[in-house]
Amino acid sequence: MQYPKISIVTVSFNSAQYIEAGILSILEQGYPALEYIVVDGGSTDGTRDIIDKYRYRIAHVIYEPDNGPAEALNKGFKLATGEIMGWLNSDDRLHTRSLFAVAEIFNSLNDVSWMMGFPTWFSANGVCVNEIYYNRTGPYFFPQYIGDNLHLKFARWSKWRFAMGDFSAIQQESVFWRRSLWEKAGSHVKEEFIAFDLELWTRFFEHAQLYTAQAMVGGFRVHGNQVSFNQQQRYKQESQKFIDAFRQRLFEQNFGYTMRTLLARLTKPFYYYETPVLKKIYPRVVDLPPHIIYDFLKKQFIIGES
Amino acid sequence: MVNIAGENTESKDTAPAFFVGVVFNGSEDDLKGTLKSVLKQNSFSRSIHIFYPVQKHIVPIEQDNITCTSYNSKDDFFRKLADAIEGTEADYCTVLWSGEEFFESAFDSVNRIFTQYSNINWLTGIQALRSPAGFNISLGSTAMRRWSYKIYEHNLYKNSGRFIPPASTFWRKDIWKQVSPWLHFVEQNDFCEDLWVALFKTQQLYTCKVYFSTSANDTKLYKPGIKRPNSPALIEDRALERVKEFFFINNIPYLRFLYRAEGEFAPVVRFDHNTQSYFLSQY
Repeated sequence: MQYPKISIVTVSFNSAQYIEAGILSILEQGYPALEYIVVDGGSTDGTRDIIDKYRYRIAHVIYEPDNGPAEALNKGFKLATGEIMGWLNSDDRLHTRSLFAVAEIFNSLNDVSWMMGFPTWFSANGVCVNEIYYNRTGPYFFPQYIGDNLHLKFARWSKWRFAMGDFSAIQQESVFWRRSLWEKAGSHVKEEFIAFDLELWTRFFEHAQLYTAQAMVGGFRVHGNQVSFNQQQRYKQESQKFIDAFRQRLFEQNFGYTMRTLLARLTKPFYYYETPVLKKIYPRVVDLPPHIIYDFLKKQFIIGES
Repeated sequence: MVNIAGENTESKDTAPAFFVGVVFNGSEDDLKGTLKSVLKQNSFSRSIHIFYPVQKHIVPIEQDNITCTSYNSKDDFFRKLADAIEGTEADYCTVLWSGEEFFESAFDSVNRIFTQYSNINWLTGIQALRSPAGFNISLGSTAMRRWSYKIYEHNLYKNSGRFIPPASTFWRKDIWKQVSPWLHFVEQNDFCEDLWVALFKTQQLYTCKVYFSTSANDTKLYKPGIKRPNSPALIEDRALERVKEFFFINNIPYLRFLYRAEGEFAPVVRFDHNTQSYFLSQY
């Protein structure tokens, strides 16, 4: 198998508690064509000592103050030369040998320009859980009670579904993309926002479909001290702004947008609730791409049925 | 001293011990992977017993807490396995095939759940499938991993291929006295079939939505045993059972009341990220 060069950027700021697990989750993959870049924005809590411990295995380390993670990411990605790209926040982790799964997917499926792995979460002390906390109120047949069963339904996007507001579970830790897509999308993340990941996805959606794979790629560590939690309100407001703008663009470019939205809202419950026959309508209406599944007999990833 | 996760970091000396029975499948590499994953659970003391057929060569492993035991026949294996569990001083037990591996925090999760819920005697978590390249694939829903004794028995009859993964299944040592009288190891069966039936006699199985282990799919570890006797009760139930199982496994929400009403299942153990603890839920 040919191993495409994968560039991963980790940005950190006072992340001593979790960063070692994150760094090791990347370095211990044993992936032969890894380009790992760490950008630290001036940590004072011992983070640098941990990074220094592994510096000989890291392609580039930048120690300099920045105005936030987006600026740090841009610094890191400017140095990246890999054909495949992604980033991992200092408190999150990759799963065992997941870079091999990413490599296999991009090697064998030429139509895939960006992909997301099966979403998983870690507890503060590293327990791998297959669901995030859902609001557990409401009748027992509400989707929150069947959260993990819906992961594969939630974890499937098209620009239509994204524009309709179903976006919150695109798990950044599990997302990787081709350099060509990054270049088409402008080769940067927007530094003035904290929801810069979501803004980047809107630009990616302009150029390519997001495919979801069954492989466990990365996991989000929920410890309550994340930017997305601490500044949840601002993150949500910014996200909504991006989605609104994206929806407006889509509306202007597509005559049947309103009709499609209406039909999607009507048919979505059938999809969520596994209603025979009718469940097939929603994916067609919003043009969901099929999942990438692993065929254990052929020992390779294939595009599943739509 | 309590860390950010609310974990008492000073309790390591008194942390419970695990009995890990490893059934050697013939591949040294698989065995190494399994042992490595056990040894990574470094907050806990482990008593590891490797069982291997006498005709297969195994390099003796000289390490504290690892015992290698050969067996002549399946019957001999069953007896030695039961004796080893009987004689262990560990708090929690699990038996797995070499080739299965634990997730890094599996023992910690098991300990936390058993500590939080003293009424749970045995439980099973999620098992991912490991590809030949070593990455993990997550398949199936929680509904597919829930078991009542009836469904388990029904699956044995069908030889459906759906099974309770050993490496993700743990039980308290102190219930062994209740379990052992029910053990009637059948030569043709896989050891865990009989073990699970015996455990089901003591309590329903609790399913946890936490990843405990991973298994190499292509080793075909699970070999279903003989078809179970076609008991009259089973024949009677079979048609209805099939309908209900279809709805349940496919998780068709508005038809799940069929199961809910019967209360056949133990609740699901789920993790709440807000409180960093576990809770029980119907689904």
